[in-house]
Amino acid sequence: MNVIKITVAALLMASLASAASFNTQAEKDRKALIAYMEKKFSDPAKNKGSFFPYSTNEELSKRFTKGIKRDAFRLGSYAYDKGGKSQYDEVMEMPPFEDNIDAGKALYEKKFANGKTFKSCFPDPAIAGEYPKFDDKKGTVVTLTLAINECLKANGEKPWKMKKGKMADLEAYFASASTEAGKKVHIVIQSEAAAQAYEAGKKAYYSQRGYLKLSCATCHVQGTGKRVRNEYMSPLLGHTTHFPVYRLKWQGLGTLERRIEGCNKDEGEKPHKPGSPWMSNVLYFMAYMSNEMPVDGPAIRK
Amino acid sequence: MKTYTLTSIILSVGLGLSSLSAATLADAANIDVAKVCDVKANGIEGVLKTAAEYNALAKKLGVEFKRKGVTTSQYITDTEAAVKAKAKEVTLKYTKKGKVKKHTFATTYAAWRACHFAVRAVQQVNEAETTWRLAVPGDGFKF
Amino acid sequence: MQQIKHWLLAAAVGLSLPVAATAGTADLVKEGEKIFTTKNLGNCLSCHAANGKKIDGPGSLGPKLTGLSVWPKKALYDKIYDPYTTNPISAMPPFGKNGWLDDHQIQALVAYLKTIH
Repeated sequence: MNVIKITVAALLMASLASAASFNTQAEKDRKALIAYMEKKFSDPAKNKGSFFPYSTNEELSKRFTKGIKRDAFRLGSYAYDKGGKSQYDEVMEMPPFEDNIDAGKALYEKKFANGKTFKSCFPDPAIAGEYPKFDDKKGTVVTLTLAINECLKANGEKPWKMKKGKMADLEAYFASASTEAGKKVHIVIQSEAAAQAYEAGKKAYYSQRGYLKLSCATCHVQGTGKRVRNEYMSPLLGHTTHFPVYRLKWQGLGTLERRIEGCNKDEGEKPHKPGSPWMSNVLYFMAYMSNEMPVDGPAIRK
Repeated sequence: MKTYTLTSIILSVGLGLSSLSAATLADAANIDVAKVCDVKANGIEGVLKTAAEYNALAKKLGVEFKRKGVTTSQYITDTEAAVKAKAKEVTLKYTKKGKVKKHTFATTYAAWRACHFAVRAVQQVNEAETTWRLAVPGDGFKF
Repeated sequence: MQQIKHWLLAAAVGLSLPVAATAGTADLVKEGEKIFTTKNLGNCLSCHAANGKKIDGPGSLGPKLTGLSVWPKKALYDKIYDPYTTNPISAMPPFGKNGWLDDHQIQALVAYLKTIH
């Protein structure tokens, strides 16, 4: 009997001890990614040989911003592309997504058939930086998109489409409220199962796929700051901070899920469905990489 | 001539085995995609059969290819239909932004592509096992 | 790097005999150029500039192509077919191996690449 008690106590202590360390690997990965990006963009012209072998000297010395620190990477390629940044600043003076934020606020306050509102699920709208979360009871990652649909279902409402429309509008309101409140990305890995979901997302992110045999990282880690045709590729660091995004290509607003589908297409792979474990795990990994960065959405991208 | 005979023996053994059981990741690691997808050597039906077997596995693994609106599955079914109809060309239809568009290929070309797409999708899963960490900063990727 | 230079030099010497251009190769070069510059075909320009060629907005993911005229055809063919023999996380797709460009298309592309000095 005593032996059992001791064993149980030892097990409990062991689990408490490791509770704080389920994110050890993720922290290591995040810090290394920040170190890589900051080093790469410390002085692009000087770093040509090691980081930008095929870029032109002119773009590296004149077009690129030097000495970019972590938080600035939330601007995507506009963090380093001066020309893109000035265009971005112009458009942001009168952003095309203002109406979407208003529509999102109205959706947040609109009563469901049962008389409740989204407030019953999300009392504070400034929560964009807290998702995705890992739900230990379900054993799966819950993205903001999935959480919104869960709320709808719990209140007897039909779930929404996950890529644009109402979903993007409500997320735009959440993002805007989070940005205004000065919130930061805060992703938690609180259990062994959560750490496994993170690792699955990381492996998917770095695995080459599709007929082009590209990984997400080919363009957004190693490829960051290089051009495909005339377009600069954006960094993984900060990627999830500013969604939903108004894309000129879409002529409208889209969720993270919509954007990742586009990346799958570019890799030549049949896109993974929004809400699929693949998609949610990848987003969990991506969001963790942006931990501690300011939420800065919605935003505009080409 | 000797090489040819040997190749065909290997191929027929390979095809014989795969017709008995579904394709596996281990099978994929050991095949030469150019050989099993060679329409002249294996016949168009043989190539499409290999494509179907490996694409079933690719779908299960969530790695099916898609090019310009057309999945490997559609390449296979539409090309099979063209072969049945003894058509020299296959037209692959797909929708983009609500509009119906199409690609037209020689039937042999479509079969060749379907087979390469199917086999390579699976082979890449094997390859990624040993290469993905090479791209992770702080892990296999040094900077 | 030094080794590559030696090898290229050797290849250049070996291939310096002028080859009479036939109408067939001219057509092949034209076809290859189309593959190089068309998004729905090879789309090579999205990553590569090419020395001496007027290309609209080439990307910088891959090197500017220079001196390919001295490369042996087989080396060019193999590089397009499957570039993963050297760098396993290369950004260049295996055009032949992955069923994107077939044997004839790659040969046409090689014919075009051989015109890059």
